[in-house]
Amino acid sequence: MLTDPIARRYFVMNTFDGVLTVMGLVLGGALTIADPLTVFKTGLGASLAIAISGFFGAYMAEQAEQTAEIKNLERQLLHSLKGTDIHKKAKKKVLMLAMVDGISPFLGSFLPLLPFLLSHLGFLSFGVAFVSSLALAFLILLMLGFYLGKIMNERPWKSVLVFVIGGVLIGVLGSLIERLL
Amino acid sequence: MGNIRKLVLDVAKPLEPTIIEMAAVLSKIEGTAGVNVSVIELDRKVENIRITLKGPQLDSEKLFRAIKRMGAAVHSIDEVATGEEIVDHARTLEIRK
Repeated sequence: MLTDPIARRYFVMNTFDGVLTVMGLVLGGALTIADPLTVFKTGLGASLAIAISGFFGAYMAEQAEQTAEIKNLERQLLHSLKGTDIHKKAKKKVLMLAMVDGISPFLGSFLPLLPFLLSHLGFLSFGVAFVSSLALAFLILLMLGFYLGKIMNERPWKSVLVFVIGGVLIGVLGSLIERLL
Repeated sequence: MGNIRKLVLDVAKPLEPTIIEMAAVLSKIEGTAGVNVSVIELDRKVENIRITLKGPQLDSEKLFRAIKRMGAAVHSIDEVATGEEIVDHARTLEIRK
């Protein structure tokens, strides 16, 4: 799937980011808000915000890194690399990484929001939407864990466990916010 | 200009693309029959290589452009052979000693 190690890292980190952001929103506020459309809209706003911040953040940071690397290479080669395949490749890589960094948190946060949209459209009750949103979120966490396991070429239970602990942690914190505040 | 049958180039290049990729690209250029790329000196990020090309009609312009596009630079043209057949450089008495 993703062959570039930096892209893989971004993908895992940011999908996790997206999922946990929405889990926090759903567990911390959905029951109080109790209106599926409001939950969906709030979540969508947050998803778009992390997508855009991911895209631009990665774009700027990666461009700086690539520029520095090319300049370093030019210093050692004693000639300019402008217009070469190396330059073009670096540009493409920056864009690819920015896309991964923007799209992965968006997907991670948008998918668990879909049940609320379905609930608004009358396909699901609010309770079912709430539960299936959390189930979807945990499913994504499981898949991330398995994906990391596959990258490590080891049994994935360790990484799955860590991701699920992350999910449970946000679950506990979210419920605390819901109950105490 | 007569047909160039052999070229030996002294080239500095980044480690990427590798000499395998570079040789593959150069061998596909029309008029080239065979390519040899040897590493002369390997540094941390760059390497100096010697490219030896043979063919019925080497296209030096295209070859140089391709080398440049891959981020490498020709530092010197060390040998060239043109004409009906390839003539190797003669070993003079001085060299033989």
